[in-house]
Amino acid sequence: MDDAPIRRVDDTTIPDSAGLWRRIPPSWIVLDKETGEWRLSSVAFIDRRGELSVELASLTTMEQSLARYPEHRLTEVQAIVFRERGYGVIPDPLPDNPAHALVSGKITKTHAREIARAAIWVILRRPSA
Amino acid sequence: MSHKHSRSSSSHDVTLREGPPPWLSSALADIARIADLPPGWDGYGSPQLSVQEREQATQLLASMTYSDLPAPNIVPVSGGGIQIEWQHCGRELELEIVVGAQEIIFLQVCEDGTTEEGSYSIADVNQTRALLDWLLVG
Repeated sequence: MDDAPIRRVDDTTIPDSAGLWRRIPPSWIVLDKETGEWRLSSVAFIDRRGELSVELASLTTMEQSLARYPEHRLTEVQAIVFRERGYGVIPDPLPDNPAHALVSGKITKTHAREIARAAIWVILRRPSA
Repeated sequence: MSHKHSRSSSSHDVTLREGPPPWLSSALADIARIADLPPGWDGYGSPQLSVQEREQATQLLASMTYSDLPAPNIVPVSGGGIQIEWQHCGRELELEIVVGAQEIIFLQVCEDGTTEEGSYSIADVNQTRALLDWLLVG
């Protein structure tokens, strides 16, 4: 029996321009040793359990997204950034979070790094020194 | 006592000093801080760092005997695991200890932005050393 995870199909009703939000705990913000600036680590877009949780920005607000995570930051990546690299975007509403969605497919380290650099800060609080 | 040995790269000779890197104690403190993160630390239900992962990360760092090695960033991974990442002279190296797999997934980013990634057994210290050599001398 094949134990490979089921690859869910990309939902093309979600436009390429759709903003996908991902919460960022403080430990994923690292000091870039070459620029001296704070930046996002590539691990922000890796989940070793499989699919990556995000939220459809059009269905939530910054306040709702961070309501239970006051120390977290928020980034946005457009759906096309994932699709161009072969990943799908699938709505996955939860009882307490109708905006919840998944990025399907196992994101490689190269892609995670590229996605992290394409991400835009929605809310950025710099780590305390 | 530290001692020196030379390694050749394609374009020039480089001397790497052996000895514990000066950042080791702060890196171990970073691992301890990550190990103290509660379940769900990422907001996506990730587990705490396991005792085994903490031990593997500690052993990996303690095995790095180049005093020239720059200080890494150390970050937890959703779903389990821990990543150690460096930047040096335009090159980047990521080593991710994968939970329960006895495996390291690596990413090399060259000066021109090209990348190479792969995986190897966490017991393969020669592979770790080869990647650190690459980071330091190209």
